[in-house]
Amino acid sequence: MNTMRRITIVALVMALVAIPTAAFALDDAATDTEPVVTDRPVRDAVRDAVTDHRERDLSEIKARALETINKQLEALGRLRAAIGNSRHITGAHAGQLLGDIGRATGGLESLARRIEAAKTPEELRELIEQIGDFKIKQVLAPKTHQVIASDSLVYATGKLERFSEKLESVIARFEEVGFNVDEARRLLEEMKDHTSEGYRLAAPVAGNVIGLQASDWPDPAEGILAAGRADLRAAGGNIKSAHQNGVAIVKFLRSLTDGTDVDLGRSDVAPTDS
Amino acid sequence: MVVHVRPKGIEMNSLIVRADVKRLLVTLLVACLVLTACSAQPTTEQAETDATVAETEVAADLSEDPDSITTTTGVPGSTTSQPATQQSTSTPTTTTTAIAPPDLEEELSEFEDLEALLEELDDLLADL
Repeated sequence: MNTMRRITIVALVMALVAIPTAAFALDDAATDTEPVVTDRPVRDAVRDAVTDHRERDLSEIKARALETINKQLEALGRLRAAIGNSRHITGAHAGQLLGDIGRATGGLESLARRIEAAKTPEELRELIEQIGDFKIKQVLAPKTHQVIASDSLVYATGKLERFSEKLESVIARFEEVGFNVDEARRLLEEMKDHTSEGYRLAAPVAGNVIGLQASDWPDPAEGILAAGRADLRAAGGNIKSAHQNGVAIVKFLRSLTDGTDVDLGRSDVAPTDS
Repeated sequence: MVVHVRPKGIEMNSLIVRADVKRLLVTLLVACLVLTACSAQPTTEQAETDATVAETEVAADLSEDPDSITTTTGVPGSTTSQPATQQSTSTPTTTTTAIAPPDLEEELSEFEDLEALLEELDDLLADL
């Protein structure tokens, strides 16, 4: 009986010692992931595979970088087209912007060539970082659009000014005929105020933003462009209001004359639908 | 007995004088008739002068009268006032003439493209 008990205890002790040892042995075998190169051909094959993988990665990165540059070049092409299609941008502003766009295009094309020729990931990384330095989206595109809008709004205010002058003369002639044109005169004053406010807001923007360069981002370019955007939108609102006033004046005058001539004997003709 | 004998030469002379006097009287009569006829109708110059005087007087009357005649000619809006030249009525008459206001379509035709310009501006402002 004692012998049996002694054998059991020894067996348990041996089991307690053997199980962790086996477990550690298995763990070591599992964590050893390095291939065991035992002969030369296998080692060369592995090395080639790693090199291929790196070259493939480099090509993919280059392709993505060149695609980004192409998108930037397309954006520059659209800016060039916007300038070409604008009927109201001044010649000086168009020339200056086209110069900026030409320099950015040349810089991006040169960068694309250097990226294609890059040999190492480090060299490629350094070149790719330069794509963002052109700040096409942040500076060149918004400033181009703002200059075009500014010049166009200035043209519109000039046209509205001539419109209000013509309306003023027409209103005076209606008054001579004998109509009461007080409402038309009130609308005309409002129209003139809106027009001059639109000009005051829109005119300086082109000059404020056209000199901004990529190196001006974010300060001061970000603030100047934000202010320009707000002024141009406000100017657009004023110009729309001025035009609405002009249309209202025409409607008012038309309502006075619907189908009938005016009798000089009646000098107190009131508007029918003001 | 005394006999007066009138010599023949003297008788002839008196006959001649009588004929001259008769001719003179006829001439004077004709002259008088001519003068009478002339004084009955004024000359053309006199008539013109009279008309001018009359016009001036009427114009002076009308300028003092606020109800003077006003006529309109030509383009709407351009009115011209002129005094009446008729002398048939003793008092000035007031007439009212219809005047057409300016043609808005014609006057404002050059601004028809404003609508399109505003649409263009809307697009430009959307690009900002």
